[in-house]
Amino acid sequence: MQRFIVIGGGVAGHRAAIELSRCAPAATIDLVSDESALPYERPPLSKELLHGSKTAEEIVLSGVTSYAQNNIRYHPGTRVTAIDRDAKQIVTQTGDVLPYDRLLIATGSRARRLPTACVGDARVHYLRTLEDAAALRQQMSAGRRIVVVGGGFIGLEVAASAVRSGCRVTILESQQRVLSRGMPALVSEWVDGLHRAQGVDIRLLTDVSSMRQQRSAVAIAGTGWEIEADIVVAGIGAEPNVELAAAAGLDTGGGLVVDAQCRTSDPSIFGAGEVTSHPVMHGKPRRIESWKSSAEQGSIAAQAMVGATVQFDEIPSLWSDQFDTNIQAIGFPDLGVTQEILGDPSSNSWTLVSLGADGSVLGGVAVNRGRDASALRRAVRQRAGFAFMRPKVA
Amino acid sequence: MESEESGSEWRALATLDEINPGQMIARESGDIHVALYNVGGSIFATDNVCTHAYALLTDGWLDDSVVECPLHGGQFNVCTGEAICTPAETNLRTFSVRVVDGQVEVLLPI
Repeated sequence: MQRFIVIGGGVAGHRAAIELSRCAPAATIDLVSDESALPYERPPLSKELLHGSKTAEEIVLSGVTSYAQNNIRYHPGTRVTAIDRDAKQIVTQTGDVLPYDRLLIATGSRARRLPTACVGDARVHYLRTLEDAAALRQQMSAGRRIVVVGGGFIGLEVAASAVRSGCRVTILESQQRVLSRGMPALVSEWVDGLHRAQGVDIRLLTDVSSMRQQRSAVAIAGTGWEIEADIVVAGIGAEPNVELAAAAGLDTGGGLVVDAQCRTSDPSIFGAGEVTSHPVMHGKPRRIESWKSSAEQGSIAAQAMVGATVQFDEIPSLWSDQFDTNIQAIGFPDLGVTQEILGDPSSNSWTLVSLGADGSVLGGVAVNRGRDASALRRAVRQRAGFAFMRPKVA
Repeated sequence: MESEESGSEWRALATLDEINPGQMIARESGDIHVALYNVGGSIFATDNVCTHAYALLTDGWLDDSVVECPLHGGQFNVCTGEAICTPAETNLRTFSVRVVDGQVEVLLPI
């Protein structure tokens, strides 16, 4: 009987476990997570859960209630301390030893921390887990002053949720625009305007040098400025949880390195989700922070683990919901050499299309234009030109 | 309109020539949002609201028998209602369809 172990209870690990049970019904499957809850959706943490339109029970991942029927043993609150590749077993913090024939590392990533020297004794929130979201939600009441450090997707979604909860919101961004990593400048400018129109105070080119806890408030200071906040949240990026894999001697440069079949350098060990750096359609291998990519890669990894010939070639795709706006980034919008625009960027419905040197669509960003997002996915997959994106004539 | 089975009735929601092959249209009947699809000449009907988050599927993309949600890219088979691509995981409700004298009738709960 084959023994599979999946480390990590995020969407990649969860999807892998479900797929393993489907492909290998007779196998034993151990899903080990250091979180105490049942596997849940992370996208709502910065949105519905934060402004209170959904509860923790409502964001549990589909299929977790049938783990037992599907032969999946779930080990919550269990930290894996070592992978013994020679003996093909893992060791947990309580000293338990679990043997495997095939192992999947889906340990995800964690919120990057501000330097301790900068934070001092100030209370700073991060957003990655259910506990993080619950702690932040408890603080976010009407009238309170919230300062968000970092104008990336997480920071912007937290800002939008905080506005909705009646907070007064300031975003501190060290770069000259929000969404500076991976998003075209036009998208940054549009999102900047969206937030300012909702009353968010965005301060660009603003580095935080120190924080000080003052009774219930935090004083935040930089060169020549100081502001006070009741709540401080930092959304300054994610770091892959590669330590376990690195300690086991696997290649972890830029993330756990896997190939298109989700294989690491050890033939018995596979990787999936945000922890991995993997080949992509254009450009160098990269780590992709996207719910959809992680979910798909988890399924593909499971199929590879049971010996199927598969290829993970999902077109990167992420969404962000802020206020009443839906933004979808498809493919590789950052790699284009020219851009085309559909619709009007001064309106609330438009699409940026990034084209490569040969005129093929590399990706794009659709703002409140879901149909364009669907078209972008197909255009990227087919290496089509911009003509593909023009509205079909009936 | 005649009553077919308890709690349901056939309601005419469109004419056949309003839905060309490969196209879909949105209709409302009472508080039900219905999507009507023409897949190779056959008409299918499902709930029009995605099971993942609130969006109308008819604002999305129809490829043969697969509709893609405009909001987050979830996909459903419109003939069976089956959720076939993340983040959609719950199947869509489907409704029976018949065409009578060029009228597309859908069997809907009352």
